[in-house]
Amino acid sequence: MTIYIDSDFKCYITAAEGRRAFEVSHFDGKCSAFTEGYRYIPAGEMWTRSDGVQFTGEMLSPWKDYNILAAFQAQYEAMLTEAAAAYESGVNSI
Amino acid sequence: MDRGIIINAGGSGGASLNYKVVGGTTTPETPANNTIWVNTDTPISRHIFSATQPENPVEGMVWFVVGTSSSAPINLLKKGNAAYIYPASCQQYIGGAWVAKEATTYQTSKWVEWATFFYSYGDLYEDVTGGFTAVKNDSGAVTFNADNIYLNAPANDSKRNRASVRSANKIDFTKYKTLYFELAVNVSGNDEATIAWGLASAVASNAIPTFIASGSTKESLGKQAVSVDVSAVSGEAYIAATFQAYWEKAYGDMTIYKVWGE
Repeated sequence: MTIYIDSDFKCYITAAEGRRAFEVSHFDGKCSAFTEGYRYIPAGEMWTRSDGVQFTGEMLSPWKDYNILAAFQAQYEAMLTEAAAAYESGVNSI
Repeated sequence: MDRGIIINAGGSGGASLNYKVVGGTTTPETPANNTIWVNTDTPISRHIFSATQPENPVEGMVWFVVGTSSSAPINLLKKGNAAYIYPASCQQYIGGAWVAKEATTYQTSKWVEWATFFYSYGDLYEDVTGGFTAVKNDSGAVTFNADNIYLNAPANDSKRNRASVRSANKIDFTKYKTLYFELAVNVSGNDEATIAWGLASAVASNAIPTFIASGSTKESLGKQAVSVDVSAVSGEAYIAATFQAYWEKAYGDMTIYKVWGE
């Protein structure tokens, strides 16, 4: 999936000025709320956390509480399952 | 019989030793070098440095779990003599149960946070990790050597060999901000292999780990420490690492020497 990162390495699903594009398979099948709760550090680049600890890419880590991101993704997948079942039901009724 | 070093007299350490143990809910204002502060409001009756759980605990006893590595090693002795211990974590016996407590050591004019080791040169830290489990497919190989864990994913033109390892237990990472691995990677071929380490929610036999937070590489790495930000991960997860080859086009191995959290 193509994601876009800002100057703080936070991920977005849409392009905008100042954001850079990268292909990151970790986000394949993930909803936007999940994806945009992550930080992606490309290989060869470095991010410094607010407490001064430095991290060298390639690294993927949530910056939002992962439990919340996981809940968003679970909701998204449940909706997809429901939609697929409804579609199937509609098709079979024809 | 308790196996370890038991210190009585309220657990202070004594004038003949090179350290001091202090309990309280705030750090001492003027600590001496090698002051160990235990964040507790339960009086410390005595303390013990031991790799295994004390068999005969008493109320208020503090157990400093020691291993083979520590971010704050302590020389217990004075006057040019040496007896080093490597504290990794701390628990206190309160109301009939062991309760995890935060501890930190004052060294070289600053408080040094204790890292928690999960693996170190053959030490599996099973009381925390439960040990480590190999998860691999066909010709992937995981070897638990005397001083490292070795993952090997050889080339194969008809399948993607994969070697993964995970902690047997899920570990609560709420209190950790950073997960470190000391490892080395050898990659041959192109950059299509999947080589990663970090925290995973699941590690199935038919796929690479489902990483929550991870570091990765496409290139060989000499033995070095790599780090993963886990500050937004609360709750339990597996420590995991994987090397999945890309058929015969990219293959190699990973050697893990240490894993620890801070």
